[in-house]
Amino acid sequence: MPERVSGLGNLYTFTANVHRWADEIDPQYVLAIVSLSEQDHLHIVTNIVGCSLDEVRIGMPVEVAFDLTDEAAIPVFRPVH
Amino acid sequence: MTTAGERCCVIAGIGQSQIGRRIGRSALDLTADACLQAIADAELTPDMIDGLVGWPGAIAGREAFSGPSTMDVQDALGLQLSWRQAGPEGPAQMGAVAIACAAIATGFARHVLCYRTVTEASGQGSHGRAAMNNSSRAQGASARLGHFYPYGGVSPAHLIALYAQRHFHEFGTSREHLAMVVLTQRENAGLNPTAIYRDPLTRDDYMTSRMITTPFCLYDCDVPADGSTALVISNEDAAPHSTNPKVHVNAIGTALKGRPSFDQWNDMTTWGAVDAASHMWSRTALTPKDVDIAQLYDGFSFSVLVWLEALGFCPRGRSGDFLASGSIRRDGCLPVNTGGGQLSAGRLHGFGHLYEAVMQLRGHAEKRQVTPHDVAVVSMGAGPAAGCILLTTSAADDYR
Repeated sequence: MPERVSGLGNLYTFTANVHRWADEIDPQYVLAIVSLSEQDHLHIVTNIVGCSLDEVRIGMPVEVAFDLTDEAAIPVFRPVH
Repeated sequence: MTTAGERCCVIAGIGQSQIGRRIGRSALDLTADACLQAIADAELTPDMIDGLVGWPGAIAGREAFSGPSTMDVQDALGLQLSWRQAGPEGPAQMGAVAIACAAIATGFARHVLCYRTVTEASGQGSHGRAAMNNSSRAQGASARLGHFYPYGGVSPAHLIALYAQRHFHEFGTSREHLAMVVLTQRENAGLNPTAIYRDPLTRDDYMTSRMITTPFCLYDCDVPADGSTALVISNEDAAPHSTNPKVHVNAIGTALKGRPSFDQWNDMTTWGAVDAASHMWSRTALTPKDVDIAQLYDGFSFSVLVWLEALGFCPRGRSGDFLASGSIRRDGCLPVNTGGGQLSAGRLHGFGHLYEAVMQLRGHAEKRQVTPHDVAVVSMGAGPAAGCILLTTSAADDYR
């Protein structure tokens, strides 16, 4: 059964994209996997936002934010300061 | 030790089509070339082939990746079969070899033709790699990866880079280590007349090439190619006494134990390769120390690191040191990807590795021949799906 989670976690791993894969995709983004606080090995694929690339560190605490589009609210994560 | 039923199998023949970038020939045309060559190489005739296995079978909309259907290949070659099979959900591309050996071990077939064909270089056209990688958010390499797309995870490069970065973090692995894979394989490709990229590559070339997605630069990614590779796998008792030495199947590893998911994998410094490798070693008296040559899957340079560790050639996390010491070079303790691998010779999706292993074991690799060449391991797969095979020049009884 689905359970509510806190939206808190740690950055497990990431990759900073450089290549332009398609005209409609801005190539500057950080693809990441966040490990949620509630359970070991419970991973969510996401983007890291709200910080410069230099600040992105594996292990850093992050919290959910929502990227609101016309179709959906997409969960992304930003550093907890 | 489990009795390894696959040990009744030999690779009796191998064939390979023209290989290149944008050859402009159909996948079926290339496949027919490779298959007929493999049958002739085994000193058989098409009417003696009673099994046909392909990987992954035709996939609508992804023909450049999938190659032709086994049905089209059967029809083109006029084969009368007692066994035909193709499917992508097994232990990576090694599933084709495993299912061919299973068909032989159970007596469903005696001579199984096994092929893998790609026309990904032509398929890309002028749109670059993204055309192969389904950058459209609506459609994917697999719907199982659809949740990566909204975040820009549109390429296998992203999936594997996530693992590489975690390995870098935990073990201090670096781009210098990836460079050892890339440069060593390019050196090997220089000795392989069918390799796509043969010109020397320097460390500077590597370090200054454009980044794709960290930590991978262009040279860390394999080279999309057009080409087909085929094998004839035979029951040892049925194989004719041919000119070419037979290569014996010693053991295959097919285990798939972790969650079948790239992102929910528990330890993202490694892959299903660990389970496939330990499964293979559980089926043989041979050990990593007995291996003379390794053809390790290299969709990306980092793939080689994962397989070196999984197969037990170095301790977990220490593949960087192993590479830095030059161990995988032709004159090292474990020559790896002696034909240049997919990073330089072209992405034949694992079957190029099988072909090169057989060439080396037969002693037919000419300028790039390494010695000794009695035992080779070949691996395929990335992420949760993996398979590997141990091949020998002598019958398995010699290794009991």
